[in-house]
Order: sequence, then C-alpha cells, then structure tokens
Amino acid sequence: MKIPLKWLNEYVDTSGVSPHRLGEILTMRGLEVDSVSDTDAGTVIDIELTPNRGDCASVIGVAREVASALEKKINLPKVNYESSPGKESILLKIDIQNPEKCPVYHLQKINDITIGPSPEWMQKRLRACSVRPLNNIIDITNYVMLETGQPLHAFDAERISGDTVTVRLARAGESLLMLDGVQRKFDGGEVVIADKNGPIAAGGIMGGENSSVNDITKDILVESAYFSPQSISRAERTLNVKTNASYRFAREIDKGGILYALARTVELIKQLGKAEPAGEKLSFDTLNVSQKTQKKIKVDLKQLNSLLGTSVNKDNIKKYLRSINFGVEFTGSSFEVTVPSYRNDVHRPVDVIEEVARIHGYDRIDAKLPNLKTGTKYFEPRDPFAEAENALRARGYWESLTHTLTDSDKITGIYTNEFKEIKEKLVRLKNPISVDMDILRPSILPGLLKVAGYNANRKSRSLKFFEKGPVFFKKGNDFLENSHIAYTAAGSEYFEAKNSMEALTESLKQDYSFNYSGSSAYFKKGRSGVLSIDGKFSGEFGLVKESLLKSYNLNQAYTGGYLILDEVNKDRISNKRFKKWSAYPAIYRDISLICPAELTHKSIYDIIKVNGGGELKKAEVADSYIGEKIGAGKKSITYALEFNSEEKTLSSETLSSEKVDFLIEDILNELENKFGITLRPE
Amino acid sequence: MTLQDEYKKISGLYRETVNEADSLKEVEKERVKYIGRSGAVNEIFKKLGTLSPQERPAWGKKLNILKSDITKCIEEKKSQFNKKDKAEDIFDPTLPGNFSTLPSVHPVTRILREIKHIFSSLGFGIAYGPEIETAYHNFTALNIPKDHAARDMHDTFYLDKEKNLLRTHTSPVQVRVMENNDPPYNIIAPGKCYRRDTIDASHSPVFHQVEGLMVGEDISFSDLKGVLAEFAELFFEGTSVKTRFRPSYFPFTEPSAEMDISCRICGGKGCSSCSQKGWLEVLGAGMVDPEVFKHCDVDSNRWQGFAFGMGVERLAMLKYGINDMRFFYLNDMRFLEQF
Ligand SMILES: [Zn+2]
Repeated sequence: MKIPLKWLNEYVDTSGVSPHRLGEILTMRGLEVDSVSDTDAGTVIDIELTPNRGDCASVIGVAREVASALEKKINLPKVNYESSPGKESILLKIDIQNPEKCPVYHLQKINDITIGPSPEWMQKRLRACSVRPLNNIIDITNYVMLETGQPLHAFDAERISGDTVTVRLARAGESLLMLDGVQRKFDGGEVVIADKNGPIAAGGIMGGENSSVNDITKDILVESAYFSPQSISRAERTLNVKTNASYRFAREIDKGGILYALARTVELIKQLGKAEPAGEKLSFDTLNVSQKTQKKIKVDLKQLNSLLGTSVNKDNIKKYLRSINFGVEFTGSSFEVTVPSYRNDVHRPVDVIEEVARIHGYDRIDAKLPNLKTGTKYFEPRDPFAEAENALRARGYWESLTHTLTDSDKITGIYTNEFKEIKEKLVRLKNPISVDMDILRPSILPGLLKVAGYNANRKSRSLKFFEKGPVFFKKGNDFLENSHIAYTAAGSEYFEAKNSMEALTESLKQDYSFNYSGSSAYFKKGRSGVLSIDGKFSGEFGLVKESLLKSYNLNQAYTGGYLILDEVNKDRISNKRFKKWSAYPAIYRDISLICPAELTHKSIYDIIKVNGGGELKKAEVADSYIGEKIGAGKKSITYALEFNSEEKTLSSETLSSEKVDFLIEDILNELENKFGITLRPE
Repeated sequence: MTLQDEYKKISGLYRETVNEADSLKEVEKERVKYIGRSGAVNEIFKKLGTLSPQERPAWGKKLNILKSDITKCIEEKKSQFNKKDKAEDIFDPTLPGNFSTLPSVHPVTRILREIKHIFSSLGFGIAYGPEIETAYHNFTALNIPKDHAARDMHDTFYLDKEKNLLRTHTSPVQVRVMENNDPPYNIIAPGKCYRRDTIDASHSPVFHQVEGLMVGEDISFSDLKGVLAEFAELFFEGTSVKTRFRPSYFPFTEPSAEMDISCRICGGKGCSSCSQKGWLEVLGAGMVDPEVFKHCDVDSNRWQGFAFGMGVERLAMLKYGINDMRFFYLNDMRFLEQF
C-alpha cells in the first residue's frame, strides 16, 4: 500500500516528523513500512499491510493511525451530497438477488459528463500509487478508492440493456470479456452485475468491456457497494484474478463508509467532469450500518493484564482506545468497548487486548523468563539415528539436502516392468509449479545422483553424498511418509556400498542379514544386496544401474544404498545392556580351504557357523586367493576362527583345545561332504 | 712404557674411543689425540730410536699402518656424522600434513541442531508431524477459514481437490499436539514445509521451519518476549544482538508479533543488507488464538500461552551471511565444505 505523504498531510499534520521516523512509528504499530521513496508526487511510503488491516488500505485509514500515534486531529474531506439530489426521475431499477453476498448496493446516475484526462495532480498521485490514469471518470473512482478504501465502479449508462441492473450469482458457463482484455468464464458461484443480456461486471472484481466508460460516454452509473469477503476471495480463485477492488473487498471494507465514498465521487465528478447527479440514487441496504453494526465488546482488565504480562491501568486503556476512535466505558474492573465500523478485525475481547498492546507499545512490555511448570513429556532426548549419519560421515560422505519435490518423467522411468506398482503409488501434486517438480520423491537416491553429477561436472574430488529424509507413497486413499537414509559414491567398488550399509546397520546395533538374489529398481543384478532387519525388507545397496546413471547424465559408475529407518528397531539403539566378556582366554585357529571358485563365502560361512557350535564366536575371512598355485576352477580361502566359552566346562577349567579340535573336525567333515572342500596342504 | 707396550695400548683402544664420540667435534678431539702433531702415534714414533737398527724398519712400517688405520677409522666416523647431518638438514617441517576429518553436516541440519539444543536447554520437548497434511490441520483448525484473505499468505500445493495438501508451515503440529495431549504444553516442532513459490534468491518451494508452543495457566506475552529474546541471544552467541517485537498478524495468534534482530552488518544504522531499516525479520509469534484452543478442545479460560515459528534457512542465512537460498539445495561442495 503506497501512501504519498503530501496526500496524507491533507488529513493529518505530520510536520516535524521525518518520513523515516514516521515509517518507524507506523512499523511499531503493526503497519510495517517497507520503503520510503521519492516520486514526482513527493515522498511515498510503502506499507506492507497484514490481511487483517483492510481499513488501512486507504490514505484516510493510514491517516487515522498516524493521528493516533502523533496525538493529532484528523480532518476528512467534507461532502455534501444527501441534500442535493438530482431532479430527473430514474427509470432504471436495481434487483439484488443474493443479499448475503451483496448486502449493500448503491447506484448513482450522472448525466452529460465530459470525458477527458483528469488533472495533472490527480494523475501524479495515481501513478505514485501504481494506478494507471485512463480518463477523468475512471481516475476519480480510483482516486476515491485509494483515498477512502471503498472500491467504486462506473458503467456507461447507455450501454446497459433493459431497465434493470441485477446483482445475482453467475450461471455456470457464462463468461465476460473484462476490462483487462481477458475473457473469463464463471463457474457459477461468483457474484455478477448483469443486465438483460447477461453479466456486465464481475461484482467487486472488475467491470466488463460491454459496459465500460469510453471516450464517447455521456451518462454514467457509479456503483458503491459491499461484497462479502468470502465471495470475493472465492471469485479471485475461480477467475484467477486479483484487482485493487478485490483486494479491498476480500479484506472487508468499511460498511459505514460506502455512502461517504459515493458522495465523495459525485462531488469530484461535479468538480472535474462538470456534471450533475441525475435524480436520486438507487439503494439497497440490509445492513443499516448506523445502528446494527455498532459492535460492543466487554473486556476484563485483569484478563488483559494476565495475557500481556502488564499492569496497564484504566486511564491508559481509555487514552489508548479513544485515540483510535473506540468508545470505552468502565464498570468496575471491566470495560465495554464500542468499535468503529471500519475495524472489521476487532470483534472479541482478545482483539481489543491486542489493540491495547499495540498502542501501549510491544517494546514497553517487560521480557521475562516463564515460571516453568509445563511438561516436557513429548521431549525426544536425542536423535536416534544420529549414529547412522555419523557412520556415513566417518566413511567420507557429505550430507546434502535435496528437494523432496521431483520430476515425474524421470522417476517413472525407473519403475518399469516388475517395479510398475511403485509408479501407481507415486504422490502427484495437483497444482505443481513446474514439470520438474510435480511429484513427491519415492526415493532419495535420484536426488543424490543429481548432486554427485553436479559436483563431478565442477571437478570436485569429493563425490560421496548422503541424505536423511522422507519419501512418499500413496496407500489406498491415504499417504505414507517413510524416513530413509540414502548414500551414493562415485566408483565401481561394490564393497564401498556394502561396507557403508554394514557401517549403518552396525552403528544402529541392528540384527540384520543380507540377501543377494533379488532384483532392484536402482541397483545392478549380481552387484547388489537386500538388507533385512529382523527378517523384514529394510533397504538395498550395490552398483547403480546403468539406465539410472544415463537418465541423470552421469558418465562414470556410482555405488549407493538406502536404509528404511522406519524398519530400524529403536529398542536396540536405546536399550543397550552391558554384557560381561568371557573371563577365559579365547582359542584362535586358522583353516585354509581349497574349494570350487564359484562357491560363495556365504555358503561356506553358513556351514562353519552351524557346526562351530556356541563356542565359535567369530569366523572371519583372513585371505582369499585365486591363481595358478591352486589350480584352474578352484580358489583358496582362509578363515580365522575364534572359540571361547563363558562357562567352565565339566572336564576342565576353560574351553579345551581338544574340544576345539573336535569342532573343527565337524566343520571340515561337513564342508567336504557338502561341497568337496579340502584343507589346503601346508 | 716401552714402544711395544704403547703400541699395544693405542691399537687396542682407538676404535672404542673414536666410535664413542658423539659429535664431529669430539671425533676431531680423538684425531688430535691419536694422530695429531703431538698425538699418541707420533709420540711412539719418537721412541723408534730406542730400538735396535734391525728392529726399526719393521716397527716403522707397523706404526705407519696403525696411523693409516686410525685415520681411516676417524674418516669413517666423520662421514657417519656428515651423512646424518645432511639428512637432518633437508627435513621440511612445512610440508602439509596428511590429515582427514569428518565431512561436515549440511548447514540446515546444523542450524536445526542448534535450535533444538537451545530450546531443549530452555525446557522444550520436540514433537513431529506429517508433511502431507489435511486442510483442516493446516488451515481450518488454525483459524484460517476457507475463502479468507489469510489463506493467500500461503500459496499451497494440493494433492487432491481440497482435502490433502503439503503443509505450508509447521503450525499444524501445534494442533496435533493439543488434540492428543492435555495442557500444559512446551514443545518445538521442526520440519519441512512447502509453498508454491518459484525458486529465487529468497524463495524455495521446499524449506524448513521450527514451530514452538508454550501453554500454561499464566504464560503471557511477557514470557513470549523473554523466551524468544533469550533464544536470539543464545543463537547469535558472541554478538551483541538486540531484539525488537512489533505488531503483526497471524490468524492463529492474537496478539501477534514479529521479532526483528538488529542488523549484524551495520549494527542498526541501516545498510543494503537490511534495506536501510537497521533491523532484520527473524520470526513470527503471538498468543495462541482462542479459536485455535477451541478447535483443539482446550479451555481458553484456564489456559493461555504463546506460539512461534521461524524459518531455518533464513536463520542460517542471517548467521552465516548466505545471500541466496538456492545454495542450500544445490549442495555444491564449495558450499558444503564451509560448514
Ligand atoms: Zn544493516
């Protein structure tokens, strides 16, 4: 909202107060001044109005605040209208069909106007307020709107068909070519002004071409009305348009100022258009503002001071509220407030309390720390997954943060064939801003690949990234938000992906296993694994598929993985119990095996584990070798075994060497029976 | 002592004493001692005259050999020191170390952790809510009715006609906490939010907020000021930051306030960073509106308190002097490495 200071000064004297100081004063009263600038209409302050202060969408509205702040009198332009109606009898009728959406409607006919440019001073002021001057009539209606906050509209009286101006709801399918040259279709709920042939204006929003004032207009109808904020907000949406008029109606106009604005307009047209009102105005008014809308609100002084933490007294309350034209009557420790018609935002005791706080000054309310009796039962003592993030950082991964909104075209390309059902579960936006941000991500991985590619193109040496955050799916009529941690690294080293996944699960103390036979939407078959926690699918890792690399324009290999944090058993993280280690020394044995080259570690390990009994604590691969010395089609693999027992055995103090020999014998027998594995000769 | 005795003594001794020398200086002393002009060997030479003429040539030869052996021994010892000294001379302590350190966390995560930490220390708990919200929780329960100008402040992404949307702020978590628990309340709620803003230096369709709620029987606007000023002081540690509260409007608080901090660049005089105002907007706050309490079935005659919301990226920008919101989501290593 732009306010030229010279204009403001016509209503309230701000001399002696610099524009910057005035800006500060208004800002501290809740009318935030964004900038102070110089124009050819003098200094202009730009106020960023909050939606509740529709009353300040006018020079007079701001003048009222300034008068209160500076403790000055306000002088409004005098109008003398009711006493001098025109003589002509008006043949036109008005018909208001939806009074709940348009409870007040006035139309004044004015004949024999002379269309021409408005005076220079008016044009300057309009331009300073970002309104384009057009002709004297339109300029006057805009000028009075900026001055009083009441939007007005002028129709060309001769271009109206029939004898009735109707205010009704639009019919679905009706449309109107509006003053901005855009043809808009009504969905049926908007208020329109119509003549015999159909709509001539979208009520409270914009007039139609078919009834507009132009160079040859002679007689006009000036409209001053009240359109309900809800119906205007709705129409702004359905017609996809916002205007200076709709802005004010949506914030609610001063019900007590509708006629004043009409009078002021007629007054200015008389002066500048050299024309006279033709007959009495046509009026429809179900509000009868003067009596019914005088709101009275009862406020308790104790409650006021308790909410604000202040000790404001009766005299101050009276002084504060009267300065903004509120009536105040005290009865004991409570008071009754009468609210002026333009303050549509004040209707409850708490609204009055805010007014008192505002004028008292927020800066004069003491700051203190509360007496804490409030509970902290929702307190989450720490981030349970912080260790997982640290595990990846320790492996050289950088945390990144990518948009959760992403590109459906690229994403759907990932879920082909057997992964088709994921496509149906994608969460799509109904009103995206752009095609590359039209769905919620089902995976963090593509975003991370993009980050890696971006940095690779900039020759960064670190190409390892991770992110923790939500992914989204549809679930029937509902939605699912899962929490993932995902990572990716440049390179083709499968074990980078696997080691990182193990680092994650180990850092979270999970009971997990891997499976290598499944297929993945993201990772290459045979170079990937599936993670299970407590037997449930909990993530994947491996070499990123070439198709995925290609779709993100990556020209080198990447590995990666993701862990579904919702599947993590949090008890294992938080409920750790100390366990005493064995008091007895462990027995270590190495076994070197010769086996078929294609036999996997997992198949061997499973047999070692089962046959090693409870005494086998660890079986680690110490060495693996394929080469001439072993022979074609074979490999050598060495396991370092650790045996121990927490309890004394019957026969001896500790686990005996003989017992370990027996266990190893069992392991070797079973390996030989199952896979023909032999001990490697010394 | 006879020549023979001295010969025996010196030839048995020199290796030991030369090798014991632990500096070039001492080796030189040894040299003077044994083969210097008046060193031990020359002393023995002088005694050649005491021998018979037949014996003299053989002993002369013997002594010359001894002298050359000692010389060799000393030279060797010297070269040892020389070698060592050379190696020490070319050592370069200014070469860079080969350290590795943990990659840092993203600045948004870092700021979020700081905020959580500060409010935890002030006794606040942490609550979370869904990012896909209902229009009821995001708007209606927060006193933002349908077809109200206040909804314009939030350009919203919808997932269907009008029921489900991406939350435009973290305030719906307030509602969920109040719906599911009895007062008093004392929580913050961090998380992602979404607005239909085109990406530019100060807008991002995805951003982070931290919501706060403190409700008790006597929590007042004065407490709001105290808690939030304390937060600002702890957050912008080490800088003398001033705070100011001014009236504002949010449908879910009444009275509503905006908290500004004094511009850290100009100290309040006005500069281009603060568009000449001397103050920078940090967060919105206010006393919980009775309408919100009503929606959550909390008795506003007994309970009162305040709520606040702050933008995490904005705080990070203020704290680190970042001037473009896009950097947070670009994840350029040259950006990430700085935190
Ligand atoms: Zn500044």
